[in-house]
Amino acid sequence: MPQPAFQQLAQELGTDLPARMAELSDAELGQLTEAVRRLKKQQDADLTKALEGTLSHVPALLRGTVRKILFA
Amino acid sequence: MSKLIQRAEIFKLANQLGLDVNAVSFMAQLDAETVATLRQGISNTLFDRHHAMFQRIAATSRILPTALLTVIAQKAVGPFLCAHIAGHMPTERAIDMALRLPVPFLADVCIGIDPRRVVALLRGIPVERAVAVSREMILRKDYITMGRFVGALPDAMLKAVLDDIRDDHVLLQIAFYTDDKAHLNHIIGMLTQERIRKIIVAANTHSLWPEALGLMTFVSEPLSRMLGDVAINEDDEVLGGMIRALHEYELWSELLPIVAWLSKPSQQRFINLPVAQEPVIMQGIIDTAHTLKMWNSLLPLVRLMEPAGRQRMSGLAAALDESVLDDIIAAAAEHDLWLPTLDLVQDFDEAHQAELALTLARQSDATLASLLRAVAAGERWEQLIAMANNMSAATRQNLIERGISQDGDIVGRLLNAAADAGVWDEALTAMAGHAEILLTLVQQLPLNMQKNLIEEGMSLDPGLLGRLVDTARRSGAWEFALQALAASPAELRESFPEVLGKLPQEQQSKLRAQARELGLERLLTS
Repeated sequence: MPQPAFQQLAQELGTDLPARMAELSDAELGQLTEAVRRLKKQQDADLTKALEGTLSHVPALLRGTVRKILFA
Repeated sequence: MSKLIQRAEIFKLANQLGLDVNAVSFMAQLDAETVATLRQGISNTLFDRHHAMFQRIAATSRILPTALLTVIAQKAVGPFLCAHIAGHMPTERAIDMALRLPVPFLADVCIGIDPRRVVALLRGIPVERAVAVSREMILRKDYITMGRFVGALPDAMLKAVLDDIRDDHVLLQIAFYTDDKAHLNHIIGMLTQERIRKIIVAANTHSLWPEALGLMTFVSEPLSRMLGDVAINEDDEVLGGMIRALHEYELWSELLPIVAWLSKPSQQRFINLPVAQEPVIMQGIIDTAHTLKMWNSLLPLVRLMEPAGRQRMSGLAAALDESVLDDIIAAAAEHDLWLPTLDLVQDFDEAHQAELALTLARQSDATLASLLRAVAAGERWEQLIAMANNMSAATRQNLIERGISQDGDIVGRLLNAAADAGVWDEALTAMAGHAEILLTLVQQLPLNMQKNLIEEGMSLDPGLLGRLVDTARRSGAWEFALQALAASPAELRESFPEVLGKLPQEQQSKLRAQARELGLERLLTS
């Protein structure tokens, strides 16, 4: 039975981990999980900023169309 | 190979996670493939989790002008997200944007891009633009990102980028981090011999020997040999730097297979370098060969060593645990490396010679047969006889039986060689107790060979007969000696009494007494 830290990392990545990853300690797996979470958070933040920022830069005439594309 | 690929993979993982490599140094306990799979898994997660949204953002590029898109990309989207969106954009529009966006921004985008997802885009970017981004990455020393792109760039672009790189150590580092190792063969093919030489020198100047070794390891065998031969022709200082660095990084396991396929002169130069002779270095080489069972890579070098170095290596090998002899013998038998093995063990002290004899006793018939074939081919009879003297009677018998079973000539040649080499006593001692086998053998030999054995061994040199008798006296092998005489052809037997008449009286008396006991006194009378 894989340790919880192993499952947490697998869950964070949404995929199966290579079996040998189970040889890492909980602390080591935890560090990797934390690093992946940071990347995902950055991606989420960038995405939010991109969606808001894109609309603010688009000329008013096209804003409705772009909004439809982005949030359809 | 895996240790160097693993090292590169760990650096790439740290780069992907935005961490210092020391923060993920614990990944060194896993193999390179596991690290690469994790890295790919992280990349896939980042590319797939907002897949639909990336497509929508990319879709806006169909209705917005490129000039506006470049502003949005820089002010709203940012390079990290651009890297994930680029592959979803219409290629022509993405190329257009790449031409308008500032080079530093493009270099930032490259960090997050998976080159395999944007192959069409890369093929469409003008070469000059790619060179400009490459220069920016070099300024940042982002060789890891550059390495990831090597396999995805079209040839003309790759060549232009490589030609533009002035610093050879940069090239070396990019090659080390290349994802597509097979592509490295292609790259090396694009470089001149002089450029390759400069890269090797740069490895020393910039302390990049693991990277240089990585390059030699990743490419095909002919290219690896070429790189190795170029390296080995550098001066002692450069090679000293290489050997010390590889020792420090514990990379002997990666180097030994490369050395094994170098040309003979290169191998000879390598193994006899003063730095390779230093005890701590030689110990590192021996330990690696032993621990990783790489004797098949090391043994061929033994033949090329100067005697003093070979003796040192022999001493270090003998000092390893008892399994070392089994491993060496297994490698010798499997890879037909008996002659270098005999070179290595000939300097063993008495205790280890005895251990060697015990180890040989445990070997299969096939292994002993291969040893005998090698001894015959290399005329190493004297050493075989010395080894046989340390063996138990049963092992000696087995060895002789193996010799007879595959080629009766082998034992005949052994006796002849013993006479030639002046180790007749030792040969007889080794053969003592196996009279029956020897007699069978002698009787099976063609008459001319029997004559050779007897004439060369005895008749032509009456002194040998004296030594035969001496040996028989010391080792209690009278029976064998007399029966050997009895087995000789009649025409030769007739000359024995005359030969015997030349022996000291005391020896004649003992021989006659033994002959009487064996019922062979007729041999000694004319």
